[in-house]
Amino acid sequence: MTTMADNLDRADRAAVTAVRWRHSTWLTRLALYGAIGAVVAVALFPFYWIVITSIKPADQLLAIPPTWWPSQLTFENYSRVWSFVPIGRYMLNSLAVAVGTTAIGLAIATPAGYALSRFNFRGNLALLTVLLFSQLIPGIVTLVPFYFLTRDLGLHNTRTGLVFAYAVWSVPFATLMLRSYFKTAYPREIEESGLIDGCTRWGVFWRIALPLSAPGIAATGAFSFLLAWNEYMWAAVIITRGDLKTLPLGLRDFTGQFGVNPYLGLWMTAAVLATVPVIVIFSVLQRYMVSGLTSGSVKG
Amino acid sequence: MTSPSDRPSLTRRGFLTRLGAGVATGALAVSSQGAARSAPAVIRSVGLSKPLGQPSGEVRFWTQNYGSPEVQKKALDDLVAKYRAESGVEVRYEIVNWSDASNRWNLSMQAGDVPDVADCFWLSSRIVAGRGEWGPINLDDYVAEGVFGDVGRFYPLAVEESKYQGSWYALPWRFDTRIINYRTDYFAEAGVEPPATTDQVVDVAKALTKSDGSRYGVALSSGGGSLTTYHHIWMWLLQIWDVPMLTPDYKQAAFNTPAAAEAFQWAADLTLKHKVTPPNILTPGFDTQTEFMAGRLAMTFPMTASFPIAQRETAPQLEGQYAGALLPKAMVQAAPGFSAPVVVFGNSKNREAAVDWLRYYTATESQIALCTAYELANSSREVMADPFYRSSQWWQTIGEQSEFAKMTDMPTPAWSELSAFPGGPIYNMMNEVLAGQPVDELIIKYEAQFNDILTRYG
Amino acid sequence: MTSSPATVSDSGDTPRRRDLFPYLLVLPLILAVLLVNVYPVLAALQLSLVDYNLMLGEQTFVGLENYAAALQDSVFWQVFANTLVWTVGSIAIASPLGLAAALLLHQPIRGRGLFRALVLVPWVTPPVVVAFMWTFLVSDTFSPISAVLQGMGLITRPIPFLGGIEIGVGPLTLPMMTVMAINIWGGFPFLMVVFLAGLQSIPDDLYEAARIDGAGAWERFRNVTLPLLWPLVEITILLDAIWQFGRFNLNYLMTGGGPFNATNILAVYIFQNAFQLFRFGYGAAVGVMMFGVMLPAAIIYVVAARRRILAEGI
Repeated sequence: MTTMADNLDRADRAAVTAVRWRHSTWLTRLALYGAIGAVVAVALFPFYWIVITSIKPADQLLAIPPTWWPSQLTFENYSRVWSFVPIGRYMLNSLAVAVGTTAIGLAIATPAGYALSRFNFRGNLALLTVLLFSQLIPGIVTLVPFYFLTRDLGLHNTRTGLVFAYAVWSVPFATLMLRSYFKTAYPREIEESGLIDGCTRWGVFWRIALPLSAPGIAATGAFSFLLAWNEYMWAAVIITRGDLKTLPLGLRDFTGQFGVNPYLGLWMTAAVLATVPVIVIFSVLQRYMVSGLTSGSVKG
Repeated sequence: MTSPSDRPSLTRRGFLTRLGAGVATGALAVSSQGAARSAPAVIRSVGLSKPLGQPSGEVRFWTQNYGSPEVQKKALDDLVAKYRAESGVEVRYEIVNWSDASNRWNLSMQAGDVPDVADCFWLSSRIVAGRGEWGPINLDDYVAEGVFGDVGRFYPLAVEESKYQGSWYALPWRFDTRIINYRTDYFAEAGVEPPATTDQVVDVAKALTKSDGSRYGVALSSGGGSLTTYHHIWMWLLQIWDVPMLTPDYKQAAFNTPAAAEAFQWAADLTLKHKVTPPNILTPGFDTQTEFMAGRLAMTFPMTASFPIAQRETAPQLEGQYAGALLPKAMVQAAPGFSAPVVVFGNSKNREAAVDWLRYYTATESQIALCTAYELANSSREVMADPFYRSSQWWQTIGEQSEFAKMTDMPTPAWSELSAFPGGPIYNMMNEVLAGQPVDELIIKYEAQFNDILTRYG
Repeated sequence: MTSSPATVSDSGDTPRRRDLFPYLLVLPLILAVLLVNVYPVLAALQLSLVDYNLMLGEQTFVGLENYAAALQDSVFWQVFANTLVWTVGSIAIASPLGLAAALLLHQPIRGRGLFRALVLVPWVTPPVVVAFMWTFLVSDTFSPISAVLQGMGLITRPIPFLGGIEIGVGPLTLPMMTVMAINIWGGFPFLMVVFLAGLQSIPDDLYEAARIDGAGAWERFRNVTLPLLWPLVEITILLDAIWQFGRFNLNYLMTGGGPFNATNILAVYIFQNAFQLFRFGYGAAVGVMMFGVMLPAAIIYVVAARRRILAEGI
């Protein structure tokens, strides 16, 4: 009897423990989701606000206290903003500059990153040191001389000038990121077998290293793209021509002579439109970024 | 584009002037009414001592942003298309944002990276920065030859602002003066009228201010508050207290007077003593225009003419609930006055076309088209005679106020440094005045800063 | 190993003889670095020694006068103190926040990828958008945050987020805290991603072993996660500190450094002096000093990173 009771007792206790465990898991999960929800809410609340403001009717824009959910929604701003300021044009400019920056930046950084990860040539470490250092120089220190440089090269007020500025600017970071990626993306034996199979070293780089490192290159490219898409300070100094403005410059079109932006709804709409493309790109590449970013920026 | 019949090419007055200059000119001018492309040279008289010949090619033109972006684009596109049809010259315009216009101009002038023609500000600074090479060119000969028509159409203030050391370096276009903007419903409710004097401002504002902080009687500024326009209040306060900003030779500060101290103290007291102005006027992002539209301000001045654009966009519910009134006087009645100078730059490779575009741009018909679209006043009486400027109480008030407008930007190359916003001495001083720092000490401190800077410019 | 002749790498595909192939690959990089970093830095050094009259285009050599002028200017010291507070404050809060977010989003839960992407949004948003959007969110009159707190009866007047310079301690005024909070909001996702990557590189068997030893969640974090992650945390904080020190966009676009320089930091101060007040030489001198101040941190970072590189082998 006692043994049986003991056994029962033990079984009971096991069951209770199991239930408690499952229970606590459930609670833990709830807490986890709650915490994640809170982080996401803090991150996204301002976007809720610009989106909701962009679809408020004009007479509710300046209500006090502000309306969280307007009595009626209007999507008029989304059709009007395109002709109000040439936002389509600005997007194309930003796209051209961002794509150009990414392409040129990668064209410089990829071979360099590869060389730095593979070859123990004289000056390798020195160059790495310079790169590590140069990504730490504040942009403001080099802005003024760089403005005069672009002017002397006849590159101010051109998209090329901006691409040139961003590309060379993004290169140290991109090179370091790619170097790390090349080091860890795949075993080196693959390259060696390529050499044995009669590939030239350029062929190894081009046909083996590049395809195998595609995710890292994509992640690095996404950073260059983001930099070019979002940058304000250099663009403000290099570009004046209205038809060459990038989105960050164009978003200042709404501000009038006296520092007032009277087109609140339209501005919020333009802000939403300017943000959506980068959000899309980064959502897609989010997976690759995690690995790309650590290796590049931090590990050096 | 446009049919020949609605393609104006001359101001009436300009037309008459040139008709007087010679029959041939007149005949050509008349013929230009019919022939579109064949007669671009019409406006220039045959009998000129320096004939301009046939303008052609391209002209680069800069202007700042006015009105709403979509309206400005359409107005400029139309004007440029008309001009192309008439002259064959292609004008490529660029809009320089006010938000970085100051930086942009400083850099461009330094580098000589300037267009052919531009609507700029601070003319004398541009002339000096151009170092006799790419700065605005002397237009005296063209003016004398009647290229720009009768310059008597411009208000004296605008003429004064377009000249440097007695010579024409620019032609004026828009005109900017300021008025009181007030809520008619709030005023009716409180049973008060717009104040005529600065003393009345305090009383009226007290009647309009609610003790719970939900509404204030008055705030000074033209809009963007601490980030941009407080330097204009500084200038206006000295104007109505009849204090010169600089000595007559523009080489020394002249505002160290008891009247100036009184003026600045009056402005500071609105917030600190009378509590009729929001305490947060110096907060970044605070702007009187938006507060007014949100119903938190009963009155704001000196307000710019373009307020109705903002109101229609952002507070359509206020239609009919606000009006304009003349600025209050202190010692004298005065209003800030700015007439934007349009210049031709010295390194223009196509000076002929550049001058011709300047001629076309400042012609009465062009200015009517632009300024009524931008909702801006104009430096020319002929433009201001357009029915648009009598169409509303708002615009009639601005017209009346223009009579009291005084030159506000001083014609010294140091002005761009003195009135730099943000961060220049005028800007800093006004912020410190409004923050309640001792006015007497501020006057002494900034008088010294002024004189330091002015000395550097000789 | 220094930049002196290299040793043979373990993979053996790099002979010691002078080989042009790698140089060919890095040549464009070297040109880019020279052009965008070396030349402008030297030019800035030169500029800091002259009085550059922008309007007249005249440069007069003044030696160290610009430096002396800055050191005697109380605004410079205010801005300098602000920048230190800004840098330390931003990192002190963003790093734990980023780490916490990384730990949360490292858990194997459904929708993890989506959540990660959503949290990243503030970081990828254009600064112009961030600045204006937050100006509105923290305005005295239109802030929904103040409105909610007022609705709940917690405050009677709106919080003077950007105006309350009398609230706070020293350079850490309310406006400074506000702009810092927005900076943290926009910056912690980056730290989260870095830490996430670090977490992913910790082998699962270490956790398994700890679990078998009976370690709870906290103990596993203390004894496994933190020690393994710490080197990464250290170097990330260092790198971020250097970056925060040179920040420009938010303060320039949102407050212009105001009110009364309460939110002014070095990069904005330099920009204002150079481009708004025509004091190019002065701006350059402050820039050089700014660089000088962060140099020790930069050297520590570079040395640490070099050490890692050497440990891994080139």
